Amino acid sequence: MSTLADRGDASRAQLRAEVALLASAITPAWPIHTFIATNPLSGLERMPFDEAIIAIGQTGARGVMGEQFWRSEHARGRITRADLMGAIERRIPAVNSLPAVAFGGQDVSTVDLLIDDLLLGISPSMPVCRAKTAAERVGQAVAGTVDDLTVKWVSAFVGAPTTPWAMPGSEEGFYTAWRQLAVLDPAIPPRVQRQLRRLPETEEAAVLDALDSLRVPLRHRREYMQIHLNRLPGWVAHIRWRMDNRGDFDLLGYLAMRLSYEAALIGPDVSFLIDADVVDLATGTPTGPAHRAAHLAWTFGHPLDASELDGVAGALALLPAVDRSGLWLDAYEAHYRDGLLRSLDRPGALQDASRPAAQLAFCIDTRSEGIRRHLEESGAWETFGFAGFFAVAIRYQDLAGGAPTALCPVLIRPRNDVKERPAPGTERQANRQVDRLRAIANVSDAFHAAQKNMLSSFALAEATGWLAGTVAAARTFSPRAWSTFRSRVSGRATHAAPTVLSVQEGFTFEERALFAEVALTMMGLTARFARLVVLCGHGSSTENNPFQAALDCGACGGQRGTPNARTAAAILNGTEVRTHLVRKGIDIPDDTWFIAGDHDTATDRVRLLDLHLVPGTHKDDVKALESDLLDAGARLAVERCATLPGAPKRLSTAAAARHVRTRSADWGQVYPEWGLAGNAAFVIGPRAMTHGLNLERRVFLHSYDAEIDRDGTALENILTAPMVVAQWINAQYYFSTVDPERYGAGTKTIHNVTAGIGVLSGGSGDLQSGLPWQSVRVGESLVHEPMRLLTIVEAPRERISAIIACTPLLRTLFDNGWVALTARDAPGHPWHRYTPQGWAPWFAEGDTE
Amino acid sequence: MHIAFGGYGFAVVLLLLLVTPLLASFFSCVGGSRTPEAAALLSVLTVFFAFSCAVVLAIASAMGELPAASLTTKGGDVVLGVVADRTGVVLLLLVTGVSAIVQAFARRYLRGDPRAWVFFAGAGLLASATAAIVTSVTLVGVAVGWTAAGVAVVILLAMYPHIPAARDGVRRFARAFLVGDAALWAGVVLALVMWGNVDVRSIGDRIIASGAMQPLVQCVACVIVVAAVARSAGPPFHRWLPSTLAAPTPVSALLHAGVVNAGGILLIRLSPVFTASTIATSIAFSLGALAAVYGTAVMLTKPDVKGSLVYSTMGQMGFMIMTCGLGAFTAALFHLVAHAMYKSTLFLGSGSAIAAQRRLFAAPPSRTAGRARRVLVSSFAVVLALTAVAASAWALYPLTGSQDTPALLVFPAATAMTIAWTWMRSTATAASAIVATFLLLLGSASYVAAVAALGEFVGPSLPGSVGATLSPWLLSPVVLALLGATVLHRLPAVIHRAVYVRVMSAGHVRMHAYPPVPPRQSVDQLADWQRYPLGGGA
Repeated sequence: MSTLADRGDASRAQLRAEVALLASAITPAWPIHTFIATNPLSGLERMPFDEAIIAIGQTGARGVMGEQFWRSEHARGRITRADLMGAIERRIPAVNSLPAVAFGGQDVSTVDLLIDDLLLGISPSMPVCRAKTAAERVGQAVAGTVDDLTVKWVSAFVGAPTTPWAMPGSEEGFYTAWRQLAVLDPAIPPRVQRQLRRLPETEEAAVLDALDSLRVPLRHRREYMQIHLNRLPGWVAHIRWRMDNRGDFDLLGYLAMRLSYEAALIGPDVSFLIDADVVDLATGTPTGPAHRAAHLAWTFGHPLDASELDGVAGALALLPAVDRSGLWLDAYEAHYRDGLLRSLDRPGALQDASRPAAQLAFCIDTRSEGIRRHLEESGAWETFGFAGFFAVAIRYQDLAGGAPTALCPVLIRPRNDVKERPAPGTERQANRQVDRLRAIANVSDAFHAAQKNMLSSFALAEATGWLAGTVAAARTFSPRAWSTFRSRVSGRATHAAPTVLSVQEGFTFEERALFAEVALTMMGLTARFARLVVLCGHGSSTENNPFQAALDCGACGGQRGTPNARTAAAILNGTEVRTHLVRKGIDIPDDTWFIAGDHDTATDRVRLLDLHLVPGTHKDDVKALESDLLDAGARLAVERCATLPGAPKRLSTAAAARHVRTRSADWGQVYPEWGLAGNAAFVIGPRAMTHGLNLERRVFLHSYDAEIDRDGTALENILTAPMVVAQWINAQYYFSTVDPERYGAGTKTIHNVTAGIGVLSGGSGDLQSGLPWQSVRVGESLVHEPMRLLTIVEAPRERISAIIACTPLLRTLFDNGWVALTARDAPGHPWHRYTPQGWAPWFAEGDTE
Repeated sequence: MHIAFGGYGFAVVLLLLLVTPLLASFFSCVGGSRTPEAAALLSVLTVFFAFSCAVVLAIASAMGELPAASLTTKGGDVVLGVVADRTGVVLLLLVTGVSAIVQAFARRYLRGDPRAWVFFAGAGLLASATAAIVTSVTLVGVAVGWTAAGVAVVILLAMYPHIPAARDGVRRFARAFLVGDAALWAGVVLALVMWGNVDVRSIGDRIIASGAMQPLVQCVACVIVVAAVARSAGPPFHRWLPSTLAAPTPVSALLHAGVVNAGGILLIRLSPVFTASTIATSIAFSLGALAAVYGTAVMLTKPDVKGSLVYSTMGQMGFMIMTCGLGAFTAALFHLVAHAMYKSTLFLGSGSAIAAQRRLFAAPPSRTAGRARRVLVSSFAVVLALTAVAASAWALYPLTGSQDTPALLVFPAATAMTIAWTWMRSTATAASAIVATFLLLLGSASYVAAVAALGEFVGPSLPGSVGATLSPWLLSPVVLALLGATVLHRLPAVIHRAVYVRVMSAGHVRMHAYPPVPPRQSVDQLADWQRYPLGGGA
């Protein structure tokens, strides 16, 4: 074994560079309390989607649904023959000009043959992980042991801040702490302990030593480390996040531990592993065109001679086996997309020039579509869609004065501090409220201290068990009553003091003015202001749900977005800001009042906030709006109850509203709401495009008016920020559905919160990433239809092309097929599909009906 | 054969309680996979019915009735029988009450789960089996209930057989189950040989009549301890409980509320046999104490919520067995009932950990006190807690006929101290001192009163000790060991590290046996495809 002395700085630097390269391909996993939807394949976005799917297939992961699913979707009419034909024509443009093929005594067109093969031919086999670590080659016991030890130490280190008896030395960084402790581990055999005693001081040296000991050839080193990183992808993704945010734990330290364990367990004799010739590992069902042709002939009972077989094989070769599932996906998506675009092709709704009763801006979140639709049905309310942080990236501290939270998309650093303060004259009430919160925190502190103390934990269980039993009964049998009781105790419901936000201190005038101008322009709201303009943030009230952040506002870092809405409203009500806006051509009438709202997506209640600030002249407007919001929410609840598992069907509006409230307070409920399940498209355009349509809460809606945004700045902003977030969400849902074990979090029922940063399935093993089974399915049937995002823009196509041409991020997403893009220049114009080669008509000639 | 009823119609209520959950379980097995919603609803309704039966029985029992039903021979010897004595009704209330909560919870929690019917099948069987343990009058009846409960646990743990960790959990439990049940049945056979099919309640008289210290009696007492410790996951059977987390949350709730404490139930019900042997009580005390120290120590190192709860249970069950070893059966009963509710609630709510963390972040910052004030606060807390517990005990203990050793009060005193100290640490004002004094006095008084009331209620039905009880002074090393952990991090780093690694490592379920050094021949046998290449990674 070579030692540290042999190694130059160069080889260590090279190793660091290689690990950094590996790290760049890993999507970081945010801690679960700020659950951030990400594309788990974001590291592969520079490849076309189809190639990325093949690449992850090599690691045993699934990137697209299996053939069995597609065929059953075809059988129930969700994919039609026309969809398949369209998808084949797009993939093989010349397919219709090919001569027919003789098959069973008839001339069959290539398209028909390909469809027959898709429906009845050989299915490609499931992906299998072929790359193996040395430990796996020796046996599953060794590989499993390496994983066990890895999980043990990684959880101990990551969990140190939340564990009563923390890992000693964890403040010195992972590798150092582990190296000190690992040699004392009684659970490993003495010969392994002896090996570990010789561990070098730096992680680079440890990795290099271990790789030497395992005789991994230099040219395969990176792939080898990659294989190790693929073994526990959840923990690796968390470490990847930690690298950027804490810096005490990186992939090098992680690899140093894993490889050292592996080398020590296998021992010095690895001669059998040195056989670096690449052997072809192809196994499974034969999928060559000749096999497929023979199989097809056999299925139809046609005896084929050699020349016919050749002909059929030649036709089938146009669609290699690896491309089949991609084609199915295209057809599946096309079915939905064609329908959606046709429904948008209506005679343009007449723009009503009269002043609306109120205007409400909701988050672009697909769930807003439901409440907007139902609200618009009830009256002259006009709605808008805008990113739920309302373009104010703030660090927010509420009245209690605890740790501030960043309320903005995670890729933005919050720029402004906003604090909640008691409204003038209510300081005493506010103080009482904070005192009450402090008392509750102290009680809970005292309970936890007694629970985590060896001597006091016994009688604590005896003393509080009786109470706990009562609480459990209340929470189980009357969730709503319990939640009311609890909010009474905390004073949230009854004694909430009126507060104001420190907007003047948090923002300079220039910041406020710029924000107001940009936000209103992006929304397309620069004229015709109503007397009330509501900016409505959202969040979800759920109980006993580690994934609650996944249901909150993604644009607010997985938190409730109300403080952002309150901040934005406060800025827009400022007289200085309004004076500035007039100079910019945005004239907000004096009788327009901005007000913040909060949409609870679990209960569909919309509350209007800061009512103590509303001028007396507007009280009646507020009252009218509140009553319509209540009705709209109840009607939406009826709609939602139809698909919520276990919800009674055919409920009255009042009963449905009650049911969703009970559900949201129920600690045994694993389906409190469907979140963004079903999301499939992102519409950028005025509400007139979608007004009056039932989009089934599947579409992100961002308001945009191409007339106002002549230079395309707003459109560029929308495409590069909200649309990208929507794509992350879409990809998260997509991959959590197609591979629930690898990219999803598995079933909620065995989840076990660990280290305060994520969940395990059971007592040990990998950190789960992505969404749980219960977010996308009920039992075996899918609730989320796994489709990639379709972005629909109503704007001049040259403007869109220009933006894409100068934005590499958008080129990557659109050109590589991660997101589809379609546009029309103006209402009534035909839809065009974006392709890397240029715009192509979406519907063929004569197909527009 | 004759069927005899005691306590009028209440005997029928008792029989219904025993049988209905079993029927629901049977329905789940037969039709649960086809009509999951109906099976779940039926299970919940039946367990509710069982709970109402338990309430009726409790009222009857409080009024002095003794509901009983038995199958007797012509000569009047009991073949099989059930009785709901005072201890019995308390435990029936617990078993059916916790089952009702957990099953109602599971009906929502497991909705859409294709294996939900397995849960309801297992849960119904478990409820009936535990009720049988609690009420059977014959040793054979107790043992049948015991084994049926074990079978129910196997069913519940096998809910997700596709998960390797779940299969591992079943295997580990099955091993403890086999040893424990073999021990119990061996004891039952010995007892049958010695005394015939005797009524559990009259064993004490037989033993006293036959001269207590027969080696056979000692044997029976010891094997009962083995069975109890195996079910309660005490050492050396401590491996199975941590490996059960691959089963859904409601299974854990049932396991920690109604299965592990069966060890205590067994020792309480068979206390005349168990206490007849000082060897048996010493073994129970030592294994219990060991589990209490080991379990709580490992708990402190667990970063995961459920893992921490599992080891907490192990410690608590150790405490319960240890209390039984001291002959303090009222205290053990009090502990096992309260802990069952405590732990099942914590399990069901284990998903709230993230919300709790969010609340912690958002809570008003606590005011930090200076050094002098901290010293003042801690001494005040110590004095206050000791006074509160001592005063309550002094005032209330004489009112009851409890035979339990007052030494056990050291535990509530420690809890009171910790709570008082933590409370005062952040709000060290005169007002909060007054609040703390008031609440602590109230808390201690209610605690002691509750223990005393339970003692009063079940007293007549608790058989009590036959042989000599162990000295309460044995508790002192246990208390010292438990205290020791709080100063561990002050010890030199070398010692701290070594202890930490041992404890932390002990708390990690090992899924794979450590491989031996790879033998040469196996290496040569590697097929071609098992050799390199290394390529192919994404």
